[in-house]
Amino acid sequence: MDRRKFLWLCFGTGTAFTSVWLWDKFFLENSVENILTDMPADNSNLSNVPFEKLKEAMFYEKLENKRIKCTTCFRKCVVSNGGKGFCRVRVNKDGGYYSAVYSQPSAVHIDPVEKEPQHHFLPGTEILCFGTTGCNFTCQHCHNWHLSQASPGDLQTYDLPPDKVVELAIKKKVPTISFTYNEPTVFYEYVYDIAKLAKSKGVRILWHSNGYMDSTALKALLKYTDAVTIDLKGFTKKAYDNSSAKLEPVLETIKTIKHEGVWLEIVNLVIPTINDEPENIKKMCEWIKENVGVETPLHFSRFFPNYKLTRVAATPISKLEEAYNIARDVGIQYITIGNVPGHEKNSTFCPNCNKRIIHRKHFQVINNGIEEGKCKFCHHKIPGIWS
Amino acid sequence: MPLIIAIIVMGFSGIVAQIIILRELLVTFQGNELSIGMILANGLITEAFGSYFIGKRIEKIRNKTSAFVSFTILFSIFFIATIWLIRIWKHLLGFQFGEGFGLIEIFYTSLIILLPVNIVHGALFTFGCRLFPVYLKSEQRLSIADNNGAKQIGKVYIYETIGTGIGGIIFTYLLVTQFNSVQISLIIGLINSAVCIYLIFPVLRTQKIFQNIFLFGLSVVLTIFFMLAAFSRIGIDLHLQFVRSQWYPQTVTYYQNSIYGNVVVTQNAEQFTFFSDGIPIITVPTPDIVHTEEFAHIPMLFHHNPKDVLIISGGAGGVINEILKYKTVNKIDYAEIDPLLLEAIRKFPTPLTEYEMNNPKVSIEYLDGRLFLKQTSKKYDMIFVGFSEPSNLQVNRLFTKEFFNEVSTKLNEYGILIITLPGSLVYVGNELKNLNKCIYNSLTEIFPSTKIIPGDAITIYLATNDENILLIPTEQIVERLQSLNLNLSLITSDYIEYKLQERWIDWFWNSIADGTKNINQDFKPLAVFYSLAYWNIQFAPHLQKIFTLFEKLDFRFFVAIILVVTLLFMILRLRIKRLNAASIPIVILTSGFAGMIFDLALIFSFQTLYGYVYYWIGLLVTAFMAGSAVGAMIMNKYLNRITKDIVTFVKLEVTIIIFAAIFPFVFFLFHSFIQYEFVSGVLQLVFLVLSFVSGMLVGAQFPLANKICLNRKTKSDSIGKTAGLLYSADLVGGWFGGILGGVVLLPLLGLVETFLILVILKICGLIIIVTSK
Repeated sequence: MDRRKFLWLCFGTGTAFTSVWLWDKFFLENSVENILTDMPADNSNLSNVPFEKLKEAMFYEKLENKRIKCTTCFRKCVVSNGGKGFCRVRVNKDGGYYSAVYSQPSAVHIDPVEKEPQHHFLPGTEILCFGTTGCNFTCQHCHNWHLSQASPGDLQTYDLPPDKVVELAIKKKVPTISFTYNEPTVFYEYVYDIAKLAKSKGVRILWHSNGYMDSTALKALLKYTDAVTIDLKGFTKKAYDNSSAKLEPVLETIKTIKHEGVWLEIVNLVIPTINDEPENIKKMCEWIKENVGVETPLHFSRFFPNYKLTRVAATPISKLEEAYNIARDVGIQYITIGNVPGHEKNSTFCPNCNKRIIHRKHFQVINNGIEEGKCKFCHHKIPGIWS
Repeated sequence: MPLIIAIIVMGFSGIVAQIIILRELLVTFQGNELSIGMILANGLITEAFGSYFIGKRIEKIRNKTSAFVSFTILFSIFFIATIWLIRIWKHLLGFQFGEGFGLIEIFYTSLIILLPVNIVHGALFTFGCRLFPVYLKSEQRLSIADNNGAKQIGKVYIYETIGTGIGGIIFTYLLVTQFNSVQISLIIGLINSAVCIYLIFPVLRTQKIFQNIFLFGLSVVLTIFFMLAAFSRIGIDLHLQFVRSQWYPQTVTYYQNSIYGNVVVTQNAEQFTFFSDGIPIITVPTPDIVHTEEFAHIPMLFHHNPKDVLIISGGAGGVINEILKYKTVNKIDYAEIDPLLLEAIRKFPTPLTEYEMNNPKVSIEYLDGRLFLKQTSKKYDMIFVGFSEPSNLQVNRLFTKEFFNEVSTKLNEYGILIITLPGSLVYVGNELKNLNKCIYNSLTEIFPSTKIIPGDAITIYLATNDENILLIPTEQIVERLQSLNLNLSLITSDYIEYKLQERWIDWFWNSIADGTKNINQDFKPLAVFYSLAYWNIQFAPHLQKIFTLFEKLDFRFFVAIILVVTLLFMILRLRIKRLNAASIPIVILTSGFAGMIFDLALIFSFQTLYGYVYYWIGLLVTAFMAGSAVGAMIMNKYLNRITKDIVTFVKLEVTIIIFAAIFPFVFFLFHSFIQYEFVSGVLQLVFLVLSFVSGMLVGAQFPLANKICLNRKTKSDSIGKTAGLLYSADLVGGWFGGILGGVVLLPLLGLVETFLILVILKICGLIIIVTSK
C-alpha cells in the first residue's frame, strides 16, 4: 500500500465513523418517540439529585432561619432547611424551595381524552399524558399510587425537558398534552413551562386535578390552559378525610376555573360507605348548579376496590343511576356514568331534544353527533371545545 | 383429681384458643399464610412471658388455688374479648374500612392480640406446677420432697399435652364444623368456669373468706351465662354482632368458614359481593365489565374453534356468560378454589348467575381447581385461571411451574392457558416487574409460545404448546370478532386494535425485561414473596428497601453467615474459656429455630399440596406440640439412666440433621401422585407423623441439655438460671424461625434450600458441642 492509498483509507474510515456518530447523535438520540416504548431509565435519589436538576419553585415565601412557606397549594407547608413538603417532591435547600421532579416524568403515554374524563373536549382524540412522583393528597383508593404515593428516587424517570415534550406531541400528531396520573400541582413548574410553550406552538393543554392548587398559582396556569377536569371526592368531611384533605379549597378552585373562562368538567367517584349518601350527592349537585352552572358536565364513576381500599365492594349500578337521577332532577344538563362500559348513560344526550349526541363505549367514541358545536338533530348549542 | 382435670382442660383450652385466634387473624390479614410464621413466633414469646414473669409470682401467693381459679376465669373472659378485639382491631387502629395490613402491622397486631390470652395461659402452666404438691397427700408429698420437683413439672406437662391432643382433634372434627368462633369461645368459657367451681368448692368449705366466696359466686354466674349463651341464639347473635362490627359499615348477609377459608357476602342495594378471606372475588349482577370482557374475549378470539373450556375460579358472575356467547363452545367445566363460594352464589341468586350455573353446557365441579385438573382425563381448548394475584400459597398453586406443566398436558393441540397478574398502563415499579417476570419465566419454562397483553388493572398472559396460534395478526382477530357478532358492552374492533398495539406491548415488555430471572415453583413460592413485596409497598412504602435487600439474599449469604458466626464463636471460645458454657445453649437456640422451621414447612407444604391448611392447621400444630411434649417426657423418664449425656445429645443432634436432610424430599416424592385418593390419604398421615416426630426430636433435646448444663455447673444456686437460659435460647430460636423462616427463607429460597441451610446450621451446632470442653 502506498502512502496515498493509506491516506485515502484513513479519510474514508474517518468519514464513515463520523457519519455513523452523527446519525446516532441527531437521529437516534433525538428520536423522542422512543420514549413511548422505552421504560424510564434514570433512578436518582432525592438526596443526591444534582443541583442543576432542581428547579426553583415559582410560589413560595422565604421565612426566617432558612425556612420557607410553600404557596403552590392550599396546604401551605412550612418547610425547614433540608426538609420536604407534604407532596414529597419539593425540597428546601438553604432557604430556597425547589421542585425535584422538573423535567423528570415517570410516566409518559398516549391515552384517549375520554379517559380523563373530558367529554366535551375534542371527543375521540388522543392526549399525550404525563405523570411524576408525588401528590398532595393521600387517597386510600388511589389508582396511580405507584406514582402518587412514591418519593423521588423510588421510581425511575425519563429526562424530558419542556421543549422535548412539545416536540413529542407535535411529532406524534397528538393535539393535546395532559397532566394527569398524579396531581399536576406538585409538578407545577414543569406543567407551567410546558403549557406556556405548547400554547405558542398550537398544542392544547388539559389537566386533571384534585383542585388543591392555590388561587394565585391557579390563575397563572389557567392563562395557558384549555380545559380542566376536577376530581370532586365528595361533599362531606368524611369523603375528604379519606384523602386527608378539605372540601372548601376544592370548591374555591372550581369557582375560579369557571370564572377564568377555562373549560371545566367535574368527576365524582362514587365510593360505597364513603361518599354515596343521596342527600350529599344532592347537596353537591345543587352547589354545582348555583356556582358553576348546569352546563358543567358531571361524571359519576363506578368505584372498584383498589390500593388500600380493597374490602369495599364495587359501587352498585343502581347507586350510580340514583346519583344520575338526583343530578338530573337538580337540573344538571350533561351527566354521564363512567366505568360501566355499555351503560346507556355512558353517552352524552342533548338536553333539548334528549337524543344521544355522543355515543360512547367506555373510552371509545362510537358516534359523534355534534356538528359545529351544535346537536345535529335539534341544533341546540352544546358547550365545550369541539375543534 | 380436680387439678388433673383442670390441667387437661387448660391444655385443651390453650390449643383451641391458639388455633381460633390464628384463624381469625388470618382472615384479618387477608389469608396471607406467610403471616402464620409471625403469629406462631409471637404466640411463643407471649406464652413464655406469662409463664416466666407472671408465673413466678405464685410463690408469694398463699392461696394458690384461688389464684389458679382467678386466672382460669380471666382466661375465659380474655378469650372471648380477643375474638371481639380482632374483629374491631382495624377500626381501633383508625384504619379506613377495607384498608389492608402491611408487614409491620401484622407483626404488632399479632403480638398485641395474642398478649392477654397467652400471658394468662402461660401463667396458668406455672401455677399448675406449683399447685400440684398442694393436691397430693402429705405422705406422697414427703416422698417427692427429695426429688427436685422436675417430676411434678413433668406430670403437669403430660396432662397438659393430653389436653392439647384432645383439643386439637375435637377442635378439627367437632367444634369447627358445628360452631362459629364466638360459640367455641363460649364453650371453652363454660368448661373452664365449671372446672373453677369444681376446684374452689372444696377450698370454700375449709376457708370461708370473702375472696373464695366471691370466686365461687363468679364461677357459678359465668357457668350459667356461658351455658345459656353457647347453646342458644345469644352465641349466634353475639357472633353476628362481632361480624357486623368487623365489616362496618358494609352490610354482611352471609358469613361462613369452609375448610379452605372464610367466605363473606355483602349486600349493597341490588349488588352482592362475594369475598374469600376478605378479598372480593365476584360482584353481581354487574361485574367489572372491563375485566370480564377483556379476560374472556381477547383470549377466546385467539382460538379459531374453542370447544372445551375449563375455568378455575372467577367463572360465575360474568365470565361464563361471556364465554357462552361463542356458539362453538359445547362444554364449560367450572371449579372454584373454595367450593363454599359456589354454595354462597347459589344462595344469593341473580339472573346472571342462575343462567350461568344452570346452563346445560356448564358443569360445576365442587372440587379444588388444581386437584380437579390433576384428576380429569379431559383435554381443553381454553383453560382460564380467574385469580389475578398469587398473593398467598393457596392461590399460588395456580401460578407455579408444576401447575403449568400439568396444564400443558391437559391442553388440546391449539389449547390456550390464560392467567392474569396485576398490571399497569402507567408505571411498572420494581415489585410489579419482578412479580410479572417471575410468572412469565415460569410460563416460558413450560410453554413454547406466550403472549402478554398489558392492561390498566391486570396483565393477561396467554400460553400455548403451539408455536403459531398466538402470532396471528390483529386484523384476523378483528375479523373473527366481527363475524361472531357477540353483542358486547366494551370490546369493539377499535378496542381490540387499541389493546393489541405494539406500543403497549413493547413498553410493558421493556418495563419488566430486566426483572428477576427466577421461576415460581410449588415448593419455592417466589411469586408469593414478590406479591407480598408488591402488596407491602402499598401499605408501608418505607419498607421497600428491606424487601429489595431480602431479594438479594441468597443461599450462599445465609450459609456464609452461619459459617462465619460459628468460626468466630469457636475462635473466641479458645481464648475465653467461660464461653464453653454457652455451647449447649447455642445448640438449643438452633433447635428452637429448627423446630419452628419444621412446623412452618409442614404447614406451607400442606397448603401447597392440598389448599386447605385452614382446616388442618389445628391438627398439624397439635401433632407438633404433642410430639415435643412426648419427646421431653420420654427423655425425662430415661434421664437418670443415661450416663454419657453428651454422647446421647450428639446422637440426637445427628438424628435431627438426617431428619432435616430427608424431610423435603418426602413431599417431592408424594407430590406427583397426589391425585390418587389413596396416596393423598397416606400423605396426610405422613404429615401428622412428620409433625409429631419433628416435635419429638426437638422436645427430647431440651431436658438432656438441662442435665448437661447442670452437671457442668458447680454452684448449686444456678438451677433456675440454667433452665431460664436454655428456655430463652429455645424461644429466641423459635421466634427467629417464625419471622425469618415464614417471611424470607421458605418463600424466597424454597423448601430444599431452607432445609439445606438448616442442615448446615445443625452441623455447625454439632461441631460446636463436639469440640466443646
